[in-house]
Amino acid sequence: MVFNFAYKLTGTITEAEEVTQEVFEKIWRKRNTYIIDKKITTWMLQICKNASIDLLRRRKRTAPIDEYQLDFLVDETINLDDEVELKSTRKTLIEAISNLPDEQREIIRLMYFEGLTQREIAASLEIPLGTVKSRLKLAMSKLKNHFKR
Amino acid sequence: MNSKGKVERGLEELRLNLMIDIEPIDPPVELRDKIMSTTEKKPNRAKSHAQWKH
Repeated sequence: MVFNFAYKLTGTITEAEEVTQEVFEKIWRKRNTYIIDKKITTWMLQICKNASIDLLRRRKRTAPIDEYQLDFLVDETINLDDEVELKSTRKTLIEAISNLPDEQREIIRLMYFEGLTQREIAASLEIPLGTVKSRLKLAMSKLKNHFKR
Repeated sequence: MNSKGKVERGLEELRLNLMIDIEPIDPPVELRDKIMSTTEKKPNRAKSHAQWKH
């Protein structure tokens, strides 16, 4: 998740890799300061956002997405702490996943619930990596449509 | 992690990817090893300090 978020913010694989390493190093160093009440994803992604912005500033580059948009995304979507809203969002998501065709649902299950990479999914299902990518793309697009309804 | 934990973590990651409009890609294969080697060689400073004090 951190790598993909960093990739979204920096726009290059090399920089995303650099930021991800920095984020985990910071998390490791600051693990004693982590506040239990705070969601760990919120904490990690905030560190990732700051590390990405720092890296881009050091390189005198701007983020591929607008900084205001970035703040909005981080504040409004990552900090969804309202338990009722969160439960309802998860319910919607489960419903959307169950409506996917079997082969797309399987990709989502293996990737998000089993933690497999796309390469590992391809190997496990004995299908080409390209097929995994296209099924994932279709599934994500359907989920997004369902989610934003 | 138990299966409930796996599902919750997966749903949260999927939710964030959809909200932030992330198209997931595989991180480079060697990234995990790089992270592990960085964190393994760095001692916990607070702990080291506490151990040194006593």
